[in-house]
Formats: sequence, structure tokens, C-alpha cells
Amino acid sequence: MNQLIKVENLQYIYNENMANEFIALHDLNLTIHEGEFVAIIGTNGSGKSTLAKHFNALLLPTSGSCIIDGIETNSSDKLWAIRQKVGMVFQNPDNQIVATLVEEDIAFGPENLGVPSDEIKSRVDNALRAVGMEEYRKHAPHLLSGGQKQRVAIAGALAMQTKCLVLDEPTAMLDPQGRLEVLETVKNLHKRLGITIVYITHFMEEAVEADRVIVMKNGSVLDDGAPRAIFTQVKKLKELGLDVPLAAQVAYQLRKTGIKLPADIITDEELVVALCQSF
Amino acid sequence: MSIILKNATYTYMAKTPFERTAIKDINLEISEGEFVAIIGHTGSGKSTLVQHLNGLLKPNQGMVMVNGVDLHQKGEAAKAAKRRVGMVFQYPEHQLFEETVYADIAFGPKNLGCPEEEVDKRVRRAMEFVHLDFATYQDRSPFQLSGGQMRRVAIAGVVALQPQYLILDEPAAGLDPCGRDDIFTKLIDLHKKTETTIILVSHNMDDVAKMANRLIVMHEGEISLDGPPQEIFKHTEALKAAGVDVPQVTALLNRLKVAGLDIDEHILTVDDAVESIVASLRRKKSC
Repeated sequence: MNQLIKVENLQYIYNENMANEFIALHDLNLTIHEGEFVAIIGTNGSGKSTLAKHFNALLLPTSGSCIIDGIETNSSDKLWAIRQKVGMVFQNPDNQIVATLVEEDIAFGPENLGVPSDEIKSRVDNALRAVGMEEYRKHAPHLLSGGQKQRVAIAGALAMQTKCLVLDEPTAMLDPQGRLEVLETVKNLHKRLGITIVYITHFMEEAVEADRVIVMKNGSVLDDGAPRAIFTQVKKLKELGLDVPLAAQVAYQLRKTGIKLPADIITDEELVVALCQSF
Repeated sequence: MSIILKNATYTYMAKTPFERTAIKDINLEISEGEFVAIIGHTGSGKSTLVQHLNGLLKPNQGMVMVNGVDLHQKGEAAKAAKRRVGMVFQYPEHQLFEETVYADIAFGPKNLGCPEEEVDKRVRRAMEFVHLDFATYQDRSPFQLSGGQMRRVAIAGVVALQPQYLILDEPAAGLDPCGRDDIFTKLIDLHKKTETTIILVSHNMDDVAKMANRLIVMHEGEISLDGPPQEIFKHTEALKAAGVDVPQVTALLNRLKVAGLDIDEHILTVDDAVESIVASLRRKKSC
């Protein structure tokens, strides 16, 4: 499969050569293929957001390289091509709204690219449909709920015909309903449109939905694998200061008391089934 | 001593097409020493409610009293009463403004007129409270910290005011699990040691269920449930109507119960849940 994001020996230093110099990313290597759904977890300050900002050239490597769909991010003439390929959605929905109507907000990106207006219209229509927000096209974005705002932000990226969506804790500010809305939207885009997803989160029950989970620590990749492989390492994740899905935690503690349970339980469903078989 | 809301109603943008009544005829008393969590769906009125508790919003009808003083009367007494209530907003890190962590936290106590030594003492205590090492962080710019660290600096700034009532609006949003647990442990600690009344606004049941001794569920501008956590979680229907999840542990135990395991589903912590499952399995085996 096509390597959409390729990071090689990436190092990033904030305030280089100053008293408060801080190495945020150390010699990091990572490849994300087209069509993957990757979750990135790690504590605050582990470098997740710094890494994510390299994916659309908001930050450029201090050393090493970040290649997006074959383009090096530090080739400054290709900046717009890169940003078109990789769309970003941030944590706070209120910081990403630029227009007074939902449809204008979504049209903002393609308008700036000089896309013809018929084309913009169809892109906006498609983007609204993809995030399930058609009926809100004439609404004022600042009056929407948090989950709806994030879906508008996602639609804005889709209107750029982005290949890859990078979402940096998109649900941190949302209530349970909003979190579900955003997660379902993202899963849908991945499944139906084949958009590559990079999803940074502190909610492990969201990370479980990805095909692949990357664990970051101190600016490096500590672990990289399928959710089941990652989240069954309860002790290790706890030591890192991360959560595991509740079912994995309960199964882990039950096993410690001597109850025989499969080692790979990560969802409530699996735990319920396993426990029912044990009596 | 307590904070009392009497028949408080608040309407945003009254007499315009956008008019919306955010809280309706609320009666509420929060007594000194309580640990209260206010939960509800986005738009349920919880943030509006807490902004009344320190006089930031003035109810269109009704009144707010802190320790017996009407917050919206004129004069020094009302001002002093407002100072009893400290407020940590959502995303408090957006309010950082000083050049160093120390200066930012010291700003509040200085404004209160505390002498230099007292300010210093409070800053150190507040930094200790939020787990930021004094020597490492005092001279750092707050803007070059990670999100979680910035949050802690902002919380320290309010803690340094030593309020009698401390309100926190979603203090853990965006923090990693470790940072979240850390803040919550510290809040429990602060509550125990200094008897500071804690009022926490959250939409995450898992977080608050374990800590608070009283939960207030807001729904469409009104209080739909008010009581100790174990009591609240029995009202599954009312919670569903309010758009609030039961804690994940409760949800899991409910499923196990439906599947035929004999367990108490009103359990709030993982450890208790494990214990209850083990006990139930043993009972099954012995019969």
C-alpha cells in the first residue's frame, strides 16, 4: 500500500539554542499507509501534538524528514499541496470556525484555493453529507453543539478533498453524546471514503476503534501494534500513566485473583461472554 | 455557611429572537465542606448555574447568597462574599498571561493585597498542590509548557487565592489519564485537608462518581436529580433523559447482571467491581 506519511529520524526541538530549549521529538521513525486508521496515545508532553503538526507542515523537522505522499514537508513551494492532502482538526471547536454560516465555513478552504463555484457547491454538499450535517447548512456555527462544531471542522477538511485527517484530541471538550458523534463520523469516513485517519486521544475506548495504536513516550514511539496487542498490556500502560479500556482492566484484575479468562479481552462484550462461559 | 440560590432564573439575550432561558427557578443550597459534582449534557445549564455562584452572572429573577450575603447588593460585604468563591473556568490555560509561572500564580494573591512573604508562601503551596516542582517551573514561561502543565498553572492561580468555595468547570478536559487522576487526587486532598468546598462541573460520570459525595444532574435548565452518587445511578431513566451516561463500571456490571451474574450494579470503582464479580462467581460455583 502507498506510504502516505513517512517520518524518518525526525527530531524536533522547541527554542533551539535558547535557555529553554526542549527536545519534543527524538529520532522518530514511523510509516502510515494510505487507508489506515491509526490512534496515537501518550501522556501530555509525550510529543503527540508536535508529531501531528508535522503531518501537514505546521511544524518542520529540526532534523530528519517528514514525507507526505512523496513530498518532503520542508519543500516550501509544496506547502499547499501538503495541506490539501492532510487536514487537521484540533481540540477546541471554537478556535476553528471562520464564517457565520456552516456552508460558508466549509467553503472557506476551497474558495481560497480558487476552486470554481459550481465545484465548491458540490464539495460542500458532499462534505456536509459525509458528516451528517446537511440540515445545518444555513445555521450559525457558533450556536451548534460541540460535537456538531467538530463535524463542521471535519467537513471543512473534506471539502479540501483531503486524503488524510489528523485529529488532535477532537473529543476532549465534548460531552458523551458529542464524543460518540465525532467518533462515529470518523469511523464512517474511514470505512466509506477510505480516508486515512490519525486520531490522537486520551480516551482509550476511542483508541480501541482504530486498526493500529501508537504509544508515545518522551518524544519517541514506545509501542506500535493492533489495539488488542497494546491494550492487553495493562500493567505497562498503567505504569506509563495511561488508561486501558475498562474491560481490559477488570479482566486483568480478575485474572490476578485466579479466575481463568482469555488474555486478549478489551471490550465489555468480550468480558461478558468470557465470564458467562466461566460459570 | 453555604451558597444559596433562591428561585434563580437566567435568560440569555432576553427580548431578542435568540432568547433562551438557561436556568429556570433553581433552588439550591451547597453547604461548606461538601464535594459536589454538577453534571449534565451540553446546554443543560450547568456552566450558567455555576457562574451564578460567584456573582459573574446576575439572575434575572431570584437571588444568590454566599454565607448569608446577597451577592448583588451594593457595598463591601458583597465584594468580600464574592472573593470567597474561586472559579476555574473551562480551558483556564487560555487565561495565562504573565511571563513566568511564578508571576502568573502570584497575580491573584498580590491583587488581594497579600504581603510579599505571604504571596511567596501561597505560590509555593499552590504549585505543590498541582504537582509542579517549584525550582524547575517558577521561572519558565507558562506558554512553553505542555497543555496539561498549563492547566495546572492556571488552577494553581485560583488555589493561591485560597477560596472557601472552589468551583472547577471541566478541570480534566484534555488532560491525559495521569494528569486527570493527579488533579482529582489533589482536589480530594484539598477538600479533606483544608475543608475547601469543591464544586465540580463535568459531563464525565466516571470521573465524578468516585469523588463527589453529592451529585446534581442538570437537565434543560432544571435540577433533575440531587443526591449521593449511589442513589443517583439507580435512576437510569432520568439519567438517560438528561443525556448523562452511567459510569462505565456501572454499565459493565449492568450487562453482567443481565447475563445472569448476581452482582450489585451500584458499584462505582473498578476494585469493588472486581471483588463483586469474584464473589458472585464463587457463589455460583458453590451451588
